[in-house]
Amino acid sequence: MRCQKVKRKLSAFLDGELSEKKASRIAEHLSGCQNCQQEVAFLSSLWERLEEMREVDPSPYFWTRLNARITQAEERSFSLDRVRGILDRLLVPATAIAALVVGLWIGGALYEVHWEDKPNLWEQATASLYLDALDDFPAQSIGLAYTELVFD
Amino acid sequence: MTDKELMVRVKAGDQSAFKAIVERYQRRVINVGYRFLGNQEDAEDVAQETFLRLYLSARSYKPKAELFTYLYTIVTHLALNRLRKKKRLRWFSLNQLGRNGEAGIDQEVPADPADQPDQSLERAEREAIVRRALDTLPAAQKTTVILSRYEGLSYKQIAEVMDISVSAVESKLHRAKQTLRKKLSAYSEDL
Repeated sequence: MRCQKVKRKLSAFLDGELSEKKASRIAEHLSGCQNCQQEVAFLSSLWERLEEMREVDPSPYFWTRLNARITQAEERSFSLDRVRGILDRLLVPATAIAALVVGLWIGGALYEVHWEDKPNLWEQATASLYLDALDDFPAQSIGLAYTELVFD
Repeated sequence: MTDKELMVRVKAGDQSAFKAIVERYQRRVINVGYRFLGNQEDAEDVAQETFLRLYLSARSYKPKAELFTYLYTIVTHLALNRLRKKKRLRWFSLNQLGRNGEAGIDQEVPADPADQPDQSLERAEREAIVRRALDTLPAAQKTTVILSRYEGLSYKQIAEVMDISVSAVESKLHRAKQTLRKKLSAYSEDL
């Protein structure tokens, strides 16, 4: 094995992460390579050096504070659930009312577009009826009669 | 009682089971946060957020992986997020001007009651050197070092926590060690 390849695997070798076969090949290489032995010493020393950063002890109130946060989160979640429950209960009637309002609004708009500007059917029918009633008089006779009444 | 058995109880609303989980893992979770953030107050805050998330998701919790893997995943993400936010804030902070190379204002080194004042100071200095070296590593490399060196996780467990392959863990650790060696060689004759 070449030194460069061994050096790349040394970290895993020291951490005991290599298979038995790979580890024995590295160990074999190390027994005859001073340069790689030095690298092992460096890495071990580095790992020891990191030990300088010590552990901290949990503060005595850790659980008390955590418990308070849990209670707070549960209360928040409870009030959100309540609001959601109320909304769920109101959903069906609110949808029905909204549908009704929208229906009325659309109906009103359609009425305005289609019927408001057009003459009433009843008016149309009675108007044609009255015109038909004049068919019995000769042409211009009504006008002449009106002129006579006014000017004589 | 195993973690799985405790989580089943938590799912059923057993508060004492959750307390047992917290007592089992609080030290490890807090210390992961501490390695990242260098401040016990922040570390405990992140640890509490981790346990809170576990508690709130207990109903939907499915034991795909070990509980501690799940906890390490959450605390690592939360700590890295907080670290990013802090770095952004620090960038704007005038207090930090001209302090490059010193430990951050929020980083603390707790005194060991067993130490004499001189020893304590010396120890604090050595710890600050290690911390500064660790802080120069990219987030993923730092995570592998913390989980491997301080938490004693196997490469496979680290891979699960970080959601990467085992060979990626190996490579990140190798690169991290090379960087740390360079950074710490100035302070140590052995390196």
